[in-house]
Amino acid sequence: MPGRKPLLEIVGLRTQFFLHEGVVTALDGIDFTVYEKESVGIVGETGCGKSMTAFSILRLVPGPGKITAGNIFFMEPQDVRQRRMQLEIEAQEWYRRSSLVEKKKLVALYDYRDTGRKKKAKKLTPAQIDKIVPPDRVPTGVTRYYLAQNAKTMPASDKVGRAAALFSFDLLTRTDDQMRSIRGKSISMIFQDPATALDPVFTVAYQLGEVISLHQGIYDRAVLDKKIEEVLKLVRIAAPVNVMKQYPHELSGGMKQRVMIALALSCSPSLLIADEPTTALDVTIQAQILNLLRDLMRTTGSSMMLITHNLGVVAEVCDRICVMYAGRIVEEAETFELFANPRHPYTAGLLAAFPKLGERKDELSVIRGTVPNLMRPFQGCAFVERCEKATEVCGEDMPRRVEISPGHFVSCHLWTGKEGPNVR
Amino acid sequence: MRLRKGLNDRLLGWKMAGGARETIADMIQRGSRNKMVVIGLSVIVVMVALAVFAPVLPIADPTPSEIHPEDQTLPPHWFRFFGYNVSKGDGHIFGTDELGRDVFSRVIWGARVSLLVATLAVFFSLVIGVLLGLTAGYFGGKVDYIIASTIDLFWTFPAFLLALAFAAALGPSLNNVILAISISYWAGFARLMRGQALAVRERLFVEASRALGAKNIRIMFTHVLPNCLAPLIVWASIGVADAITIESSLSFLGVGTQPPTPSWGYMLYRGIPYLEEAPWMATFTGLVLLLTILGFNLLGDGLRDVLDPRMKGLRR
Amino acid sequence: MSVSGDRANGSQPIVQTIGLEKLFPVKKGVFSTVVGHVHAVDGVDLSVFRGETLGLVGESGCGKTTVGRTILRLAEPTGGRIIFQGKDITEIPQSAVRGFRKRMQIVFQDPYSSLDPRMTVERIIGEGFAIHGPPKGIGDSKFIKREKIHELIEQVGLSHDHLSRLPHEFSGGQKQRIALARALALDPDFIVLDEPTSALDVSVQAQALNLLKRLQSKLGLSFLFISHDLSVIEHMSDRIAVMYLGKIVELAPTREFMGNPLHPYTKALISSIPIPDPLKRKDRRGIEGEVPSPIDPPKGCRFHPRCSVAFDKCGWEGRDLVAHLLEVAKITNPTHILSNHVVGLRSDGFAAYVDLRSGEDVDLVKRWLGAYFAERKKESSLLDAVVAIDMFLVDREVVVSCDKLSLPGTAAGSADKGKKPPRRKISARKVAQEAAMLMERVLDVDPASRVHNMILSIKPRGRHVVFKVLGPEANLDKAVAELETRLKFMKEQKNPIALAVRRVAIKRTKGPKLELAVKLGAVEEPQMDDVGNGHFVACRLYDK
Repeated sequence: MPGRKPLLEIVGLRTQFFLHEGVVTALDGIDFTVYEKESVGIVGETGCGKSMTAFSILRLVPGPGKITAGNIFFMEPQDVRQRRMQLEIEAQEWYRRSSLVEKKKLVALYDYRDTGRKKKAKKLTPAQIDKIVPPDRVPTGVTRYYLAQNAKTMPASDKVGRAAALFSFDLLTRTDDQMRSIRGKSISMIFQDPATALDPVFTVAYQLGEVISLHQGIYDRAVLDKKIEEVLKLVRIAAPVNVMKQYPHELSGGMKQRVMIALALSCSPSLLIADEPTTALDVTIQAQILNLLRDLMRTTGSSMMLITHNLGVVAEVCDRICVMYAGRIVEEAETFELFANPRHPYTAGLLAAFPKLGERKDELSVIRGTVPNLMRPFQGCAFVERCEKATEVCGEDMPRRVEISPGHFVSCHLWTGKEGPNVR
Repeated sequence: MRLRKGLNDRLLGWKMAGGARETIADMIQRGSRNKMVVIGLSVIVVMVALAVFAPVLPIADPTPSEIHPEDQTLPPHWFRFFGYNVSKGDGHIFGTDELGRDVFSRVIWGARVSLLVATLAVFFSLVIGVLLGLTAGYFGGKVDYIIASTIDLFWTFPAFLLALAFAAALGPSLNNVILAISISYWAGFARLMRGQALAVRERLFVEASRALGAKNIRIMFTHVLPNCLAPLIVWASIGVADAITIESSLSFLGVGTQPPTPSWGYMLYRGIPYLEEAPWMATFTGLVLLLTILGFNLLGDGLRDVLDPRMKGLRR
Repeated sequence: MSVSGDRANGSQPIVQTIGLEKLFPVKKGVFSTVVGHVHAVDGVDLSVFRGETLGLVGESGCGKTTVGRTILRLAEPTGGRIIFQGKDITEIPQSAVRGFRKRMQIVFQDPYSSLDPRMTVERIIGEGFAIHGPPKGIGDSKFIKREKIHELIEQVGLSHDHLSRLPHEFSGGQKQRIALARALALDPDFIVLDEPTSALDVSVQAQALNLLKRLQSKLGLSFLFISHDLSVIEHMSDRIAVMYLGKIVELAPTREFMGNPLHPYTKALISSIPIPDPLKRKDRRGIEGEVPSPIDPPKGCRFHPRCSVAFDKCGWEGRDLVAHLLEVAKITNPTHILSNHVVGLRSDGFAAYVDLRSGEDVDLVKRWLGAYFAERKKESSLLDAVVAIDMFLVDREVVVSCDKLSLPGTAAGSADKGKKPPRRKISARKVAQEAAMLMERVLDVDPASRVHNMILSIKPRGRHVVFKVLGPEANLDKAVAELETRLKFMKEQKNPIALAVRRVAIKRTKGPKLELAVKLGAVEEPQMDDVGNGHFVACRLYDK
């Protein structure tokens, strides 16, 4: 998408949970970009990893979970981005040219660094190598390794240092302290259940004041109060002064969600992540909140990542939509394009399964079966068992991400090799 | 912090949806991974085995009919390392007491009494507690009010003091000790059961069963009780440890098991005056008592970890 | 079976509720005194016909779930009647209800909590047989039971080897199938489906909805389908009822309902639903505000505070006016001309009271308010509903004393026909409550009343009913006179409540305080009106 500045760029993100019973791959190589001043919808069913994407971005993956691969570039200046991409292409070329023995060594080292599990370099098969380091997308670790290897003219550490500077916009390289100042200030989040997300023992004013003074260093009571009132007015609370003095339990669900939004917007973040912001609300209140979010995005110029299971909600609010299934993004397109031409069988099935108001049918079309167990590693496409159009290749090979028309990406074997005419 | 809390809720939900919930087989497997459960259970198994097989074990008679003055307060023969004169101490690994009886044998026979009393007492208080707690929690209203008040009444007094009062009033005998401990200990189980029943009562499967036309008795015993078992097991295990302590304390104070029946409490009591000249008398009894109580407590704590859903699947 | 046609042929409803009411007491304080009631279900008339699906839609807290539970007597109704297959089951004892439970079942929203985690699927499905005995058939009862359970599990699309598993091994959709199999085990005629697919994902929801439809046509079941999701309701139902704050506001066959929604709330509900089609994206404003508390629901039409087309007869109340005066007119702002004269505002039913700093301000404030209301009348239907502004004597009230009452009993249910039903005793306190409602109707709401628009409030207080009357002292006498005429008439009609009224008197209390009161037109709640095509709506816009 030329001309637009990427705000958040996620590359090959993989998040895994190491349980006693096995490894759950919650996110399996996610790529997507959020541009400035746009709202992106992430749609999927329970357990598809849509919330985990949000937690990974904020580096809040809980418990036995770990981000095991990928990059999350946030607010990267354009020139740095170009330099980095150039470097990645160089590294990619270099990697392709290198011999199998070299590749084996490299991949074993890279895999160890990223996953913490040692593999015998010699025992790696080419298929395994391709799985760990996809030839069309060489991970950052390899890029760095390439820099270190090719630093013949200057000290290796220096080259690596320069690369590190290039990659310092990766949220995954930030320290915990740096992350803390990013959360709530540059990236903030709204949760599904406003009742648990607000602290019941403090007033609305206190909770808003806490965030504002923490991130903006305002401590003067009068200034702070004024600021709080402004923020509450922003989210269309009719009597902000009264609401300020109230405790969360005195507010209705819709009011609480408004306060949550106020809390998230109080420091004018560049990116707002809304995780199922209206799921706990009634339809009439949902409509109010969606209107509010849409208007706020327009007026504040923030970007929004809206996570939901409701296709109706994204159709109302978002500019672009990513459809997730079993930890992968299976389709990504502009909203109008996606609803007009759903290309992935899962997207199409989902749209057909949704009962639409005023279009009564005798039978809804269904997607057979249920969501697969994420503990099982997938050889090929994760949707294969439920797909009506699956062929043999679907069970064996993981489909590549293909751009079939400008801005419309699909990961499906039906579409591989059918890149759109105007693409690139 | 606030963020974290929401997050954990979400994660738990996510895991539930992912199908990572427990079966009994899982629980046993995870129990076997828990060190506390393994250690506690081993101690208990050894103690129970010794107690059960005491009559057939090749050990001395704990209550010999005649007293041999030359056997009185013999130190264990391995006490020679501590500079004791052990010329005569042969075969008594814990030494002998002031009447020349083998301490080791008495400790094992004492375990028989202690474990029997404790298990029976816990069993009876469990039955009383579960019945009353289940009734109170399930029905609520006035029934609950009356039972809960009774529970609170018993709960206000420390179990030991209550047991002491009952034991003193009833007169010292083995049965009375069991009775006294049961009466003083049931309130804890009832309280726990009531709380659990109150929570389970609200679950939808109870209402579903009622919608099928089930009677209250059926719902209470086929739905509510089985779903409250986990914490009851934990408490029962810790309760046995408590009951052993109470039994020993009662015997120590002379209102428990009466001599010549070997009892840990009484043995400790008799050992105290000889602490300087014959420290083995009280020390070994005390150590075994400690070990047993520790065993049950470890088992209880371990089970709590195993049965607590919040711990599920997390690597420690 | 077609939807609307059969109704005319006199087909019997399988389930019918008449004025169904369920109030939950709100308790407060050390002694748990009842301070009010949550009006969860407040006079609901519904009927479900054989083989049809009646959809019940509404927002959370509107009482739709309570309707379902009350019909099954899982919650005891506090009023109204439930008629199941022609028998009144409102008051039969729980032991008799158990027999009916075979024929009516429920499927709950949350599949995670509705299955006992410690039972195998076989035991869960077979629980009905464990309670009511094995299914009928020839041969060994265990064998028949097994066969039946196999049949059930296949019917809901699962297989035999699922029977020995525990609920946690299943996904949400599968659990809901198991719950459905359990409900079907006893061959019921009627099933309440309480948000059966709300916890499921879209792809699984479609499977579940299709299954329900298939089973319904195969087994001839009748459903009460409860959901907050109008799209799902539309897909499933033959007729749709919309519920708002414990009341049904609109009821119509699906096609008519979707094509011609009448109630403003229904319209708002439909327009609030996000449509998965960006081409239909519109800047819909939906409705403002939130659902009021069901403890003290608005008088008149319950939707009027949020209604965009409300007019003066919709039941505007004192609290609406107070909110308007504070938030729109801002009369207590220090810059406002009245702020020096007005101490505070309060409201009570259809009246708003203005506390004045001194008695001399009465005229000034009255004039200002009169001018304000007259000026803004056209813009705001709330101000249009104002019928009188006058002084109010705080220290005068009309007190009506009531006696206790003993009524001949009504035959409840079909249980004991031969016996003469016992007399119903009603306490004086309860009589006072009934009398207050009656007097409100005849004195305040009835436009033929001579003191219409003069009554500020009618409230039961212990065994008395207390009125507050607007205007000078003469109005009190007028009110008493009017009440007495009316009572006399009603006593002749043998109205039991009127017969229990003992004495009417004007009482003076302490405090020579003077207030200003604004009276808004009192109205009754709109009733369900038939507007043709089996379409019913409770809205003043469609009054005949």
